This record gives sequence, C-alpha cells and structure tokens, in this order.
Amino acid sequence: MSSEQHLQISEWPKPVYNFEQNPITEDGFQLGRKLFYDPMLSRDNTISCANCHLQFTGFTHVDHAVSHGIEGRKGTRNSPVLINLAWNSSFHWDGGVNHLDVQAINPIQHPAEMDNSLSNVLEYVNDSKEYRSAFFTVFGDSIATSSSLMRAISQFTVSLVSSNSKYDQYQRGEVDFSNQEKRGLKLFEKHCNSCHTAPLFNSNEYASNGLPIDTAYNDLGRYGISKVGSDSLKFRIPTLRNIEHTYPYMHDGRFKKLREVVQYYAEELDREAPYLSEKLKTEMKLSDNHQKDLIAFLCTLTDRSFLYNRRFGFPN
Amino acid sequence: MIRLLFIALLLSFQPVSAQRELDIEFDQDELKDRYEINVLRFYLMSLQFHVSGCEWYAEENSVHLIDLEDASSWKIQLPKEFGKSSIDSISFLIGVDSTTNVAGILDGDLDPIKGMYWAWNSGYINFKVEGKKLDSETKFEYHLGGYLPPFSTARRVSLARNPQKKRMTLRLELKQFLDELDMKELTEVMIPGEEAVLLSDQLSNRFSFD
Ligand code: HEC
Ligand code: HEC
Repeated sequence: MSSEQHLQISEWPKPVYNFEQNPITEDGFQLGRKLFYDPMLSRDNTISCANCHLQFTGFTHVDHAVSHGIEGRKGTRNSPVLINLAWNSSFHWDGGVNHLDVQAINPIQHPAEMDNSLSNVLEYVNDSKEYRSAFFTVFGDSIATSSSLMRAISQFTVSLVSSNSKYDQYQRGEVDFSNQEKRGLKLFEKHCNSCHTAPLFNSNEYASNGLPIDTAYNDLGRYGISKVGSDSLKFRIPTLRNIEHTYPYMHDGRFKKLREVVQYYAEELDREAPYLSEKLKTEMKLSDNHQKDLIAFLCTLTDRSFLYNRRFGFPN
Repeated sequence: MIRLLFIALLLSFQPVSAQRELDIEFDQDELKDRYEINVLRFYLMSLQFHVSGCEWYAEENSVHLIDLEDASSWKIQLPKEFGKSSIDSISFLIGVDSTTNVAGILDGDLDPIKGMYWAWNSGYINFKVEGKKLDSETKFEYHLGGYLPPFSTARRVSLARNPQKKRMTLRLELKQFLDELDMKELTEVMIPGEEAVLLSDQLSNRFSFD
C-alpha cells in the first residue's frame, strides 16, 4: 500500500504533504504515536503533545482558552485541532510554520510549552533501547537525528484523518439529513463555505473575520510573520471538522459555545471592522431559527470514528 | 609486468597539492580593538567557480556553515576536477535559498540543532553575529534571515580574483560591516523584515576574494 493511496480520499483534493520524502509505514506511525504520547519529551517530563492535543476533542486543548505548558505556564494562543494536516500548506494560527516536519520543533523548544531542546530530546531517545530499535526499524539507523525524529512525529500526526462524519456519509448517500440539517447546509453554503470550504472545511489562506483585537495579547496574526500591513488581524482559516467538540473557539479561545460563534457572525460582526474580508461585508440576516439550523449542520461534521479511534489513542 | 609497475608508481606519485582549498577568513585582527565577537556563524551556499576560459562550475550539494567555534569550517575543499586549473571568479549565496527554506527538516549543516533556524517563523538564519562594541559597551545581536518576498535576505555575490595566485581566500570585512551600523539606533535584529533586508544588502558588499 503506497502512502499516498493511504490518504487519497475520493472527491478530495490531493494532499499537500510530500509523502515521497517521508513514506508512511505502520512501524513509523506507531513510533510517532509513542513520541506523541511521551511526556519525557518535555524538560521536566510532565507534558506530552497529547496534553494540549487531546484525541476526544479533535486533538485540541479542551476548555483552555490558551494552552498551558510545563509548570502551568500559559501560552498566548488556543491549541488548534490536529485534523487532516496532510492538506494544510502552512501551520499555526499565523501560518508561520511552512512544513509539518518542522512544526514539532516549536512545542519542544517553547518555554511555555515543553521548554526543552532538540538535542536533549535526541539524547533521550538515543539513550532508550526501545526507541533505538524502533528508529532502526523505521529509518534504518538506530541513532535518531533531528530529521528522523521530526519525520517520525509527522507519520503519526499526518495520519489523523477525519473523513467519516455524518456529512461525509450523507455525501456518499449512506444516510439522510434531517430537514433542519439540510436547511443548515444551504445556509452554510451561502455564508461560510467560501472560507471554510468543503470537503476540508478550511482554506490555506488568511483572513480576518472581523474579531476585535484581543487586548490581552495584541495578536496581529499573519502580520507578525509577513510584516505586510494588510495582513494585520488575519488568521489562517481553520477547519470546522469536529467543531462541536473543539471548543473554545478562535485563536484566543474567546468563544466557549458554538452558539456564540454563530451569533457573532450573524449579529455582532462589525461590517466596518478594519481588515475585514470582503466576503463578510454584507449582512447575513440569520434569524434565531436560521442560526439553529446552521448549528445543526455544523454538528454533522462530528466524526466519532475519528474521535474514538483506538489507533489514535494512547499506545498500549 | 614492468609496464604495470610503472603505471602504479605514476599513480601513487600524483602530487597531493592537486586538491585545492578555499580559505575563508575575517578581519579578526583589525576589529579586535573595537569589537568583541562572541558568535559569528553564517551560511555559504551554492558555490560556483569560473575557471579561465571555461564555463561556470557549480559545486554539488553546496552548503557550508561557517562558524567561529569550528576552525575546520573556515576551509572548504574543492572538488578534484579543479586540480591546478586557475580559478578567476567565484559566485556564492550568503544564506540559504528559498527552496531549501521550505523543504522541511534537513540534516547536516542544515540541521535546526545548529541554532540557525527559526521555528516559529520557519526558515533559516543566514547570518548571525553577536558581540559587544568596546568603547560604549553596547551589546549587539544581528540575526539576518527571512525568505518570503518582499523581505527575502539571501544574497548572491560574485567576485573576481587574480588567477595566478596560489592560495584562494574569501574574506569577510566584518569591521566595516559593523562600523556602518548605527548602534545607537539598532542593536538587535531577530526577525525577518525591512531591517534584515537592509543589513543583508550591506553585508553582501563586505566580502572580497583573492
Ligand atoms: C503547551 C501546549 C502544547 C503542547 C505541549 C504541544 N502543542 Fe501543538 N500547538 C499548541 C498551540 C498553542 C499551537 C498553535 C500555535 C500558534 O498558532 O502559534 C499548536 C500547534 C500545533 C500544530 C499545528 C496545527 C495547525 O493546524 O496549525 C501541530 C501539528 C502541533 N501543534 C503538534 C504538536 C506536537 C507533535 C506536539 C508534541 C511534540 C505538540 N504539538 C505539543 C499547543 C501545544
Ligand atoms: C472571510 C472568511 C470567513 C468566512 C466567510 C467565515 N469564516 Fe469562520 N473563520 C474565519 C477565520 C479567519 C477564523 C479564525 C479567526 C481567529 O481565530 O481569529 C474563523 C473561525 C471560525 C470558527 C472557530 C474555529 C476554531 O477552531 O476555533 C468557527 C466555528 C467559524 N469560523 C464558523 C464560521 C461560520 C459558521 C461561518 C458562516 C456563518 C463562517 N465561519 C464564515 C474565516 C471565515
């Protein structure tokens, strides 16, 4: 089975991730999984990737507006979901990370996350008999390098594919939608799909959806990376798959409930907000009932076979 | 039989000096009364040599991390092909090209462990110098990098030399580079942007080849 077939889903665009550089194997996936759930990767051995990326919530940090790292240190952003990463062309809320294989350097080094160094982590895995034999199996060399370490982690995270929600089953003609869900789908197509584009329900683009700047962090989003003025307050357009379970919402986790998000788009969004995307400049006119329909549709993006897949959970 | 022996002898007496080297240096002596340098580390990439009367020759897999802490990095062995041929020009990139910047995780001199990589804004630091200006005790840290337009910072430099000279030296005039900076205004560059572009332009004029 070639790795590309493994992630090729009919009707979906081709993945962005280059599987030729890092062919996915079962052993590689299992090695990545072990690393993902291993708290020894953090400086004080308390925090694994899974602390901030919990499976049952689409691999985000549930209930935390901004992520918490070692010694309870707070970050400045909400941990994003890890879903269908193979189709992302950039990572982080500001798109500052340009390749999945270099993303994990961030949490490992970040003082408010794992506060460790790549060399310490390499020393740790190279001191472990178990890891040495796993690295040998996967990469033909028992000594892990930055490259094999990062690619091993990617083998796991790139495999976190969610494509079996009620919405997908409806598309495949396996189940029917309720009338409310159908109405919600229509509204979604009209108001949201231009940015949160099916079937991935994201875009590899940056936009402002009009949120006022968060006063705690003054996060200017994409501008922080590009230093281009017109990129101010723009963030990556995130996927809405499994959105029912990935609260709180937005880069700073300012909304706790999906109802609040929909109400924001329908009633609170300031159409004159600076940098606001053209796509959001016209009033949506969504009644209470419309809003309920939209939420009913968003809930069809929940994929229980993903959230509860034992393969993605803590390794046995 | 005798003829074979003769050939073997010929081969073993190949002069060792056929292997050529490129020395890299900076004006350590000239600057030491004025600056203390704690970190000096930079990439030279995609080296090309012009051999009199011939085409440009490009070194394969050409990436070199030059590091103050690693004396051996200041000498680059040139490919055998060069033998005694006379090189009259060099062309190289100060820093890392954009293709390499988006290539994911790499080993060797490009390993992020070398401290020349920004993780939060993925990309290489092309040139890093840290130290102190002695008269005013001003500390400085200049980390130059960034590959996204309009703030891309890798610079190609082409320089000629006298082909008769035996040793080949690429020299960085660091004192001139530092003298040119207004250290009252700017003591730190740690991110891609306008300042990194400006300093990279200035740096690209501070190499000489002999
Ligand atoms: C302390 C909490 C924390 C830990 C621990 C953590 N992360 Fe994250 N992760 C975050 C935050 C916050 C972001 C978003 C950062 C940003 O946008 O600036 C993120 C972003 C990501 C992304 C990018 C997702 C996207 O779509 O943009 C990936 C992939 C990821 N993390 C994987 C990992 C891996 C692998 C580990 C373990 C090596 C890990 N994380 C450990 C909090 C954490
Ligand atoms: C102009 C593009 C655009 C349109 C149209 C748009 N959004 Fe968004 N959406 C965004 C961006 C950008 C973000 C991230 C903003 C941030 O974090 O500051 C976002 C975030 C969200 C989030 C939070 C996701 C998370 O993981 O935290 C939800 C939910 C959401 N949008 C729902 C909708 C709905 C429902 C609609 C239609 C009514 C809609 N969006 C229309 C661009 C858009």
